[in-house]
Amino acid sequence: MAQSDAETTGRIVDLQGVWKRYRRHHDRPARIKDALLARVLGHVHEVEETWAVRDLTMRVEPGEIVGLIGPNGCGKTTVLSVIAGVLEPTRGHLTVRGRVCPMLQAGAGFHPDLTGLENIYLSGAILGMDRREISYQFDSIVEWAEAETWVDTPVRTYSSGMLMRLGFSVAIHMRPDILIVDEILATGDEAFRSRVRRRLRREAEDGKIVLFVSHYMEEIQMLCDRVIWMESGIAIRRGPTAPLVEKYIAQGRANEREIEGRP
Amino acid sequence: MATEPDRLAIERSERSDSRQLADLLGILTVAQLKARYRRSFLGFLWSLIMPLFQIVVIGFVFQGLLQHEIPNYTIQFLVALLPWIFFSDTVLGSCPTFLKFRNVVKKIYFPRWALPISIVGSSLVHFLLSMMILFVVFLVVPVDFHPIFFHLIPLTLILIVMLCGMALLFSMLHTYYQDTEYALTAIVRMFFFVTPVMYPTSEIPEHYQYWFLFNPLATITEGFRGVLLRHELPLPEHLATAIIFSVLCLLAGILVHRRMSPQLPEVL
Repeated sequence: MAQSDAETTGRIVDLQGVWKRYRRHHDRPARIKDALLARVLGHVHEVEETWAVRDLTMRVEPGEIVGLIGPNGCGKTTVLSVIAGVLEPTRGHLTVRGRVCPMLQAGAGFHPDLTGLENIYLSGAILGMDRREISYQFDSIVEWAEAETWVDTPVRTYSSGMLMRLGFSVAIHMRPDILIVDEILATGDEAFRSRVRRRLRREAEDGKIVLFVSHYMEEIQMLCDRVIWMESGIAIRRGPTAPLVEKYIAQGRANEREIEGRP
Repeated sequence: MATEPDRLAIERSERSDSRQLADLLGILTVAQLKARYRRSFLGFLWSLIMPLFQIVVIGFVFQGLLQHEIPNYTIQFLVALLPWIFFSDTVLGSCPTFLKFRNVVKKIYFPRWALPISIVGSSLVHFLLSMMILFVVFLVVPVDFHPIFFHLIPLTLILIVMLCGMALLFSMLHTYYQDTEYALTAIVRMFFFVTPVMYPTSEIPEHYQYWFLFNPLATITEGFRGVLLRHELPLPEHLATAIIFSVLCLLAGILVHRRMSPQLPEVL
């Protein structure tokens, strides 16, 4: 609404040589008792290190919709989590300017025992809105989620579709500068998905930044201006959507044939 | 711009102002209270009946069976029990907060310290409501109101500072070591007996009373009893140790939280 030009042009997502390491602890003592015992006995638990993101450099300008594609476990979600601020990168330069709306999971900020109405306030506050802002947007949130008839019932009774609609609606109403969408549309029906796509498209036209992960290549093709293809933590290819998605699908088929062709 | 290989530099616009933080804490606190009372039949009333029941039983054992005569025993017990419940509710309630809100912590970046602090908040609301009921009881008993009662405010503040520190500390510890809550349950139960809750300090032989100096909780519970029933303040040296302990608690909590909070989504 009252966003100045300086704010719009200030939006940026910029990663320069970003690395992210996970430490997987094998048999980490989960109890004080075990930790003390391990110390007394001199046991050292094994730590396995994996690099989920390796030397990633990417820059997203206002108005762009960028898709991340790649097989499961290639680091897409890790990249989004790092940009959302949930995970801290291990090394590299990270610049994120603007209000980030993390849609990494539908209804992540919801408490099952509270009603939809109470949860709009709860997740709105967790996302970074203040009370006045939530009250102001409340009707619009309910309307967008088409939740008029069930917003007074506890969230634990909701179907996954209802949960997703309400979660997405709250998130979109925080007036974000940067939208991070990770697969949350997977459980929605086509009507809802196309509504979300239209909304994301409109946000981009308003100069927002949209980062999008999906395994539906048609969706990627419909939405993204360009894509980054990741493979074991490395951005192996990047460029305009259509040719790259074509290559990606072709490679998927080739891999399938290779598996089937094995004796 | 050359990228130095082993350096980490993060530039991120601040997401919350103080007003938003206050609202977040308020909304979280209310959510904790609602979630806590919604599922039980009598809700808030139930959590008031439990301590009253405890007082009746212990009172009966001490006064009736053991023939131990403490004047006004029930009321003596009650005034110290309320801050005690505030303490034990917060300490034990703060342990599982990050596990309960695991989904949020793993998916949304927000000031994570607000979770354990909202436990302090919801226990505080509970405590204040029980204090109001206590004052209603005072009308009946009767205990006369006295300006010295206002000294309960700084006493409560000392307790709040201490509990904020403990909540930050134990919520993090419990995330790493999941028997923390059991260990604390045992420790809290033990402290119930070495803290003057169900007995006034005056019932203890004088040469032992000195040791209460090292139990900041004793200063609080006995302080409540002293202010409300005897119109006297805790000894200055007791107050000083309690204040120092509380501040140290808070500092330790902040320090531990700051150090461990970035790894939280990976540990959960």
